[in-house]
Amino acid sequence: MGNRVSYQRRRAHLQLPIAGETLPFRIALGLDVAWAPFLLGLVATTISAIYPAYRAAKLEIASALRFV
Amino acid sequence: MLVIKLALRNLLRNRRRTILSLLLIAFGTAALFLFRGYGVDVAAMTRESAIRQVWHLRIATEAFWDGERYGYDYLIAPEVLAGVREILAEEPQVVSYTTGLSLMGLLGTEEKGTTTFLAIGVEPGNPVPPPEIKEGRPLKDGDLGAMLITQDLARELGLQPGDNLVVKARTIDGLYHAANAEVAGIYHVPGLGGNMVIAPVSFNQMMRGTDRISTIAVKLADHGATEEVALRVQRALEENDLAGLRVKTWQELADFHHQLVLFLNLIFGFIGLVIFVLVFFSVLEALTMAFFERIREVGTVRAIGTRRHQVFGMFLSEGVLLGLFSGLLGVALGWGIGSLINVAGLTYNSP
Repeated sequence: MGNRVSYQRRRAHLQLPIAGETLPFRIALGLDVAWAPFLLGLVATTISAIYPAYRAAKLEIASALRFV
Repeated sequence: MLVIKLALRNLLRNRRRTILSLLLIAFGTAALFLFRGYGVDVAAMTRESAIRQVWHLRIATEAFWDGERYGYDYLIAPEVLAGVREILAEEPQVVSYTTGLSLMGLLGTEEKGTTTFLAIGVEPGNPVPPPEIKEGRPLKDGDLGAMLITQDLARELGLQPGDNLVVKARTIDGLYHAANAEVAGIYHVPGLGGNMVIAPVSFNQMMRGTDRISTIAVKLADHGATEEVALRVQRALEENDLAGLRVKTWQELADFHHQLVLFLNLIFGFIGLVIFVLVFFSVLEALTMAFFERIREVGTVRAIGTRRHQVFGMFLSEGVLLGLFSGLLGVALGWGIGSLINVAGLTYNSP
């Protein structure tokens, strides 16, 4: 009967010693970070403008000028 | 151009409402920017950490990767290793590599008692990033019975650099083997277990009564070339009748990294959705209010010949301009806050 070598034990082979360190709390500031939030805000604003714009475009001149 | 000019004038006409909408969108954008910036940085750090831990490539037998076999047929024989060394020597991207073999057993002294340990085997002459040595010295070429132990282990057994240990472990044939070893140094790595010992791979081989190793860790010059080199090395292994070996990249082995990136993306998606809905309804409300206030104006411009699509364009441009300005303001705000956080130099210990 052979020795049963567990998966966990074999996984231990994968580990190499690494330099211990305290991690810095940093914020990445590149353009690759900025585009998604910027685009999300722009798209949300643009989509929300469609309904009022549609209502304004559909307005009949006579009914609009009734208020004058 | 006229449409944009009109849209700008309309935005400036009701400044309070425009500023409120602008600030709301800008804060939302800034919050998303900061969270995404943090997520990108954490993902980059875990990637670096994963690469430091498993290196770019790992070579092991299929049996090793399968993980559920009996016996030690998963170990790599010296003649096979020699073939791998030749292949790695010809690969220009390879910066360094180390063989590995772990060892489990008991260590201690007669006076101070014994405890269990798990020894990671490394080639001391290899430029493995050394752990932080608190006392004593790092491992060096020619060390056989020298070990680096953790501070926990040193405390538990009252050990100091230079102290002698008795190490007991089982060979691959199932026999018990005892040998003397010396504490070369005491290291500290947050996250590594208290009984994790670093020893020369030759010592682990001697203790396990084998000249074989379990894995080969390979470090590359360029992260981006990982996949490509893995394919090349795998092909070379197969061409040299070493098909029993399989190359895995750090991406395949770094489960934690992938889970973390997925988690961060999920949170980003959720926060993004919340901010999207918030911005959507607040801008919808602001622009709808503006529309109701300007019904007469719309009637007048329509009466003097403005087409429906031009009116549509006018209102839509207001929304787009508002989105553009607030997006830019939000990014600038996020950039500023992010820079302040970076300058502050805050730190934390990794979990």
